Formats: sequence, C-alpha cells, structure tokens
Amino acid sequence: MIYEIFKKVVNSVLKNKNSDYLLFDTNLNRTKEVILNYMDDFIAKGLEKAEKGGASFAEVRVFGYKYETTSTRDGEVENAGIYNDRGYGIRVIKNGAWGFASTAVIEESTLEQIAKAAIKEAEATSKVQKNPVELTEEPIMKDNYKTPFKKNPFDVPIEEKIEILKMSDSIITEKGNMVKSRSNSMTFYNVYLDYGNSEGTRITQEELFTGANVSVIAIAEDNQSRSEGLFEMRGYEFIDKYDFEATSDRIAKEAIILATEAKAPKSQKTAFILEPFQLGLTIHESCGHPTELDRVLGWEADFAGTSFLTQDKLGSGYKYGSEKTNLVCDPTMPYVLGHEKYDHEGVATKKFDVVRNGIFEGYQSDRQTAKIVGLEHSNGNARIARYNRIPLVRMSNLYLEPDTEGPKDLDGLIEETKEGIYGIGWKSHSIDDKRTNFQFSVQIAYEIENGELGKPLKNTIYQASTPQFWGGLDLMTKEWHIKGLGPSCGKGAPHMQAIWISHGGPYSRFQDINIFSG
Amino acid sequence: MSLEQQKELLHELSDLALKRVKELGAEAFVNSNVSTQYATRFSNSEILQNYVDFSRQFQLTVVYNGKQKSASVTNDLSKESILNLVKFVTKAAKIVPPDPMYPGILKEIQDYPKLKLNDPQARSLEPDDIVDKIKGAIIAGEAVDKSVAGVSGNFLLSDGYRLFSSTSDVEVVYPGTTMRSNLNIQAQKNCEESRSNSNFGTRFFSKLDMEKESTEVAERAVKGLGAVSIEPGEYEVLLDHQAVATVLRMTAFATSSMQLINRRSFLMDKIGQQVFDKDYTITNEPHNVELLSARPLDDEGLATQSFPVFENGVLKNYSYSRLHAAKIGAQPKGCALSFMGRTIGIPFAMAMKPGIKSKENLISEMDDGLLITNLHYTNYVNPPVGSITGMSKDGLFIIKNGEIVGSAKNMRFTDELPRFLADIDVGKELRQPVSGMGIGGLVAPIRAKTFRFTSKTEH
Repeated sequence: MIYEIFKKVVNSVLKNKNSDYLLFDTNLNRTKEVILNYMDDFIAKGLEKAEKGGASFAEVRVFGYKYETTSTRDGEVENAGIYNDRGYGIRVIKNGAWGFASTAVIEESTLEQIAKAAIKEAEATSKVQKNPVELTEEPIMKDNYKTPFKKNPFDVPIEEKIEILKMSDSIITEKGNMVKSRSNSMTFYNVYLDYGNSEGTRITQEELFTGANVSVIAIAEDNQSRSEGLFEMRGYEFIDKYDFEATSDRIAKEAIILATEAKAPKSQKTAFILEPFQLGLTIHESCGHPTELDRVLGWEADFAGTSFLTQDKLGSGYKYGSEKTNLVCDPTMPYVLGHEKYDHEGVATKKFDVVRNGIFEGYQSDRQTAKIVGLEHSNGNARIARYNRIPLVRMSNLYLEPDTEGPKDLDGLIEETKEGIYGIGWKSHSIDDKRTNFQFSVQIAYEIENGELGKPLKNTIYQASTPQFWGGLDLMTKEWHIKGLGPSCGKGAPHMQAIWISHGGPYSRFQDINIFSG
Repeated sequence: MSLEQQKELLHELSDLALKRVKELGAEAFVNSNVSTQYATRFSNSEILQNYVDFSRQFQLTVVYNGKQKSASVTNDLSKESILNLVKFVTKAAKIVPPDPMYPGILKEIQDYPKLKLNDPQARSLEPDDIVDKIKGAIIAGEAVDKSVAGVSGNFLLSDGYRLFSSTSDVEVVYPGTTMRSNLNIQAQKNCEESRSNSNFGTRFFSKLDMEKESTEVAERAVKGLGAVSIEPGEYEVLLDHQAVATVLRMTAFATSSMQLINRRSFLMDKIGQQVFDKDYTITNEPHNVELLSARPLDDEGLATQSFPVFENGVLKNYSYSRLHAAKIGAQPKGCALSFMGRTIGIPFAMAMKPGIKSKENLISEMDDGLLITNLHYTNYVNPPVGSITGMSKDGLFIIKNGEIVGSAKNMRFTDELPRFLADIDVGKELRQPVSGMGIGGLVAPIRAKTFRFTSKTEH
C-alpha cells in the first residue's frame, strides 16, 4: 500500500517535469523508478545473495544525492552546476566480522559481485578479530518518509537564482571601496536512502535541504572578513527566510565596522555571551564529538581522536557542566538540518538526553557500539555521507535547551549582564583530540557595559576546557534557535565523511571565560 | 566490469559528451576517473571493517562563447545520464553571464610528461593480502612492550585510471596507484595512557613495511608514558615529519590564488621577499613519482610543471588556476585542482629540500626544548597575519642537553607562521606523511628556535 501511494506521488512529479533540472534528474528519478518497479526485489535479492554466501546479517543500502550550487564571487558567477552521486552498498556479518562492498551501478547484474566482495572482505576481517560483532536488537521498521518542503528548488530556473545572488552582490558593492571581496551562494541537496536488512527492516527516506551564504572581506585599517551561512531541511522557501537582501546589507556593514572601528579585546576573564550559531559550533566540538561512542571506544583514535568522556563516566553522575546545562539530541525535530526519521541502519531516531542538569547522561551510538557498552538499544546515530562509505556514529541535531525562567531574549540577557562580551559567528576553531582544550574565535563581538552593548571588537578568541566552560553557564534566554551548519562535519578514516548537522539553543552566558585577541 | 573495461567506457562517454557539446555550439572538457579502493579500519588490535569500493566520477565543464562556463559532476555512467549532463551543463553555460576575465578553454597543445604512477601488483591484490599486512603490524607493535595496549589505524589502496579530454582534441588517460597507511598505537600503564601515530604514503605495495613502522610507533608510544605537565610558553622545538606536513599544508594554502583573490593570505604581495628562514625551500614537483599527488596534467588540462614555491625562505611563486591567473595577470603553471565545480590553484605535489643533519643530530644540539610528533586540528586564527592554532598530539617529548628525557602532556600552540619559521634548521630524512586532510608532500623534520605554546591539557 505504501508503495502504491509513493508510486502515485512520483508519477505525478514525473508528469510535471517543467524544467531541465528535473529532466536532468535521472539519478534520483531513475532510482525512484527502480524502486517502483523492482527495488523491493533488488534489495531482497541482494540480501539473499549475501545470506547465501554465509552472512549471518546483511543490509543493502541504496544512497544518493543531488547537490546543486549557484555561486558568485566578486560579481561573476563562479559556478552553476549539479553534483550527482549515487550507488549502493552491501554490508554483511560473516564469521562474526563486518565486510562491505559498494558500486555506483544500481543494477541487479552487479548484486552477485558486490555480495561476494562483501563476504570476502568479512572473511578477511575475521582473521584479525578478537570480539565477534554483535548488534542491539531493534524493532523491524517498514516505512517511506520524505522531509516536508513547500517548493522544489530544482524547479526554480537558474536565472532566478543568479538574479538573487546578483542583487545580493550589488547591495554589498554599494557599501563602498573598503569592500574588497564578495561571494555568495545558494545550495540545494536532495538525499535519498533506500535500506533493507536481513532482519526485515525496509525503509525509504528522502531529504531535501537548502543552504545560503554571504561572505564579505573589507580592508581599511585592518583586513577583516564576515560571513553567514545557514541551512535548513526545507525547500526553496528557505531562500526567502534567509533574506539575501537584509543579510547582505548587515554582513557588509559589519565587515566594514570590523575593518575600521573595531578594536581587539584586552586579555581578560569575563562573562561571555554566545548567539545560537556559535553556541552550536561550541556544542558540536565540546559535547557532540566527545559523546560519540565510537570515539570513546578508540575507533577514531587514528584520525578524529578519542574522548575525555570515558565509559566509567556514564551513569556515574559525572558533572559535565552547570545545573543549567541540558544538552539534547533530537533528530525527530522537523525542518532542522539534522532531522531524520531513521538513521542509516534503519533504526528510528529519537530524542534523548546527553547532559541533563549538568550531569552526563548518554552517548550517541549505533547498533554495534551500543551493544558493546551494554545498552539495550542504539540511539539511532549511524549515518553515512555517501553510498560507498560505512556508517559511523554521527551527530544529527544536538542543542542546548533554553531556560524557561530566563530573560525573554538577547536584549534581556544583556540587560542582566553588568560586564562582558557578546560574540557572534564562527571564525576559527580548534580542539584537542579528547575534546577538552578548545580555542574558538568569533567573527565580531561587542563589549557589554552596565547592561548595554558597547564598542565592536575584532579578532576575539575564547579558550577554555570543556567542563570549565559548561560549568560557567549561568543564564540563558527563553528565545532559542536551531542553526544548520551544512555538510561540514568531517570524521572517519581512511575516507573522511562530511555530514550535515544542526545545533543551537538560546542566547547563553558563560562566566569567567578566557578572552584574548589573535 | 574490469578497470580496463571501465577505462574504455570513460573514453566512449567522454567522446559522446564532447561530440554532443560541439553540436550544441559550445566547447568542453572532461575530467573523469575510475578506481577500485580497498580500505581497512582497525582499532584496539583488531580489524573493525574491511571494505571495497568500485568508484567512478565524470565531471563535464562546458564553455560557451569563450567566457561563459558551467561544470557538473555525475557518477552515473550510463549514456542517458551523460547526455542529460551535457544538456544541463550546456544550457547552464549559456545562461551564466560571461566573465570577461575567463580565458576560455585551453587550446594550446601541451607536452604531457609520461609518468609511471601505478603499481601493477595492485591489480592482483586480495583482501587477505592487505589483512596480512595489518596483522603483521599488530603483532610487531604488540611485541614491543607489554604496556602496548592496542594497535589502531587505517589503510587505503586506490588503483585506477584518470582521463582528461576536451573539444580541442586532447585526450590523456593514465593509470595510478596510491596507498596510505596510518598507525596509531596506545601504550597503557596503570591508569595512564599514551598514544603515538604515524602516517605515510607509497605507490608500491612491496614498499609497504608496516611491521617496521609499527615497531617504531609502539616504541614511541611506550616512551610517551609518564607524561608530566609543563607550562605553556616559548620553546625551542623539533617538529617531526607529521607536524611538518601540517606546517607545509598551512604555508601551501597561503600561496593559493584563491587566498590571493580573497585577499586573506599573509603572503600577499610578498613575491621575491624573504618570508621564512633561508633553510625553508619547497618545490612543487608533480613529476616526482614518489609523491602520491604526482600527475602529468592538472584539472584544467595544463601540463604540470615543477616550480619553486619557497627558495631559501624567499617566496617565489603563487599557484593559480587559469581564471585566477588571468585576473591577477600571471602565468598558470599546471596546478589547478577542481572540486564541486570550483577550481583553485594549489602546489599539490610539494617536496622540501632536506638539510644535512639527521633528526638525532638536531636533537643533540638542543639544550632545552620539545619534540613535537604530530599537530592536531590546526587552523588559521587570523590568515592575513599567518597566525595558526592547534594541539600537540601523539607524543610531546622533553629534550634536555641533547637527549629526550621524558614526555609532556599535550599543549595548545598559537603562533604566527612567519615568526616561528624565521629561524629553523631542516633535517635530512624525507618522508611522505599523508593524512585524510589532502595536500601532502615530502617533508623533513624542522627545528624551530622558538615556538609558542599558549595553554595546556590534562592529558
């Protein structure tokens, strides 16, 4: 029944092709046609071949994406193009070991070769393995899910996109000759997952997300940059929400302020307020990565690193931050970039606490890592970035909960701050391999004096250790926002996978933070 | 389908695409590749995952009226898909407003060097052959000392073909093999742990001595036990190969034309100036087949060429794409790389001129300093002044009176490249560390007279 409904929807889309974008969309449309005609059969045959080869568990994962970008640099169109990538992989457990093989050719004729290759890899793996792979038991899922959107960006003519970017560029250009470099872009992703495993789970999931960016470099007394890039799990309607006109105007003005009147902050320990985007980046690095269970188990030691949140800290009442610190993972939240109904092992995603009232409560996990540490279920964090990659434990949508008793908004928070600094936007970041010592800088900051915003600051750096930083969280607003950081989180070796995530929370104040310039 | 058959498919499809683009009144070039990739991830002395990928990519760049350009990529190598790609990209190129500075499609006949970039043995390798190498590394690492608690790492072998062709009747097809090995070994005593790391690249499976590598990494991990906390400040340091590879990457990015166009490089307007110590000499050597990034032509079809980037500390050349070169008024030198339709110039095959002193010699001349094995999460803080920050990782060792006397807990550094590279000595042993971060090169250890650590960690 589900497939009958899906078939009607897809056929209706196919009939309404009104642009070359959809005509070009052979990858995903053809994949859909493949599903309509024989994808159930394709997956079933793949699983059958894997099981015939001796697999005790098998999964077939068809995954693809179409990415479209239109960008300008200094008034010229840098590119208007599409990136299509799709294929499938078979992952098996044989002799208690994983094996995986993949190809870009989604055709039945390749199933035998790919299943055999995966089996061969598992057999090789089992020769150097101490502990057989075990997975948590998960409910069998059968579903077809699409993220909601209003306007398909691939239907919008390229001319319209260029026109908006040109308008944005002209707004920046009008700000005068201190502006030395301008760039902007809009990007659209259509991501597709078709998954089945030998336990009976069979899901189809399609995501559509949109991003926009404006960057300006101004040079006067100093050489300074300002940019703002945002993503949401929405269609072309996000371009209206991003508001290129207002964003370009604000970003250009702030770049000029940075290059002309902004001063470097003095070295000090003070109250530091972060807006939701930069708060999100701080959450990502200091909470997101150290709570990934594969890192905790040492599986990422060779590249991304390990974690200070070792297994002994789980359930021990470990104090991660102040009592106000409530960090929550919730990929079920619609429209945010980290939204997914299912992870890439076919596990339904869910909302769960990572930190509650300052106490470390839970890891992000997949089926294997959860089983290793004795959890009953995966938390649904297995994700891949491409069809030819194995799932890793990845963040999705991790945020700081707002304070229901805090000030209403940023103005209220600043009013309650006698002295401090308010930081905006990502400029630079670095953190150690266990995720404790971090040093981030913001694009623009403002002094706070007696409850009011004061002079602008440039080159503002904050440096802290993770528990110390979160221990200083003392006041947050009721107002909160989730911000999509784009497909920018890299992890995994030998093939690094860049995944899309979202973070955020309220405007938040942290006490006694080391601030200096650089 | 074998790699040979896929190579033929690339040839047929690029012919088809270029012919169709011409019929539509435009010009074009194709960058495409096919490869088989064997990958292994291992941790805590067991293999986590072996996998194989049969990978392919087809990028078409269409130029209309010489000034309007659009590029797109697909990995769907069906005729239907390629013809749709042509249709879309050609239409986009006709819509995109002309860029008066775009130099158009390359028409000059290029003299492409013939390079031996593949290992014939790679075609016959089986997963078991790779597993045997990993197993050897694990056994060798664990044999070093009972405190060795686990051997981790990853391995990647890629073997395939690249094809470049254009409507200017150019077609270049060449094979290539690369291997990357990464070892990360943990030593543990009581509640304390220490890790050491090594990554390196080679083109030939027979040159892959992971047992020897593992032994050395394990010995270093054991030496790292007992780390003490030391105070941040300025230290004389010896940057070992992996740390130097990071420094090389940061300096290379500053010579990229993208950074010049963005006006964000601390090396802007510094051609011919002494920017680093006279011992810092880096050459882009794309014909040096020892370098994994060696290749006969760049992504715009220009023949690659060797050129000095830094010579005796003097900045000699920036790296341009053809568009950036036209905008800046310079000559491109075949060092353009394309990613997602954006093309930048970067010296992608760098080799450092080695010094005459061994690493041991350099250490023996240090009274009071630190040996930095690896740098982690290094980023620019303020590009226009060349300031960077990052962490020490995988072994920070204390040097006193010319000897390594112990290890230290990791620290954060924040320093300016022109400052700490102003007074250096370069060692003689060249290696090719290759991390997942891309740009690599042949590097030697560097002793810097002063290097600024700014904060410390508990581990």
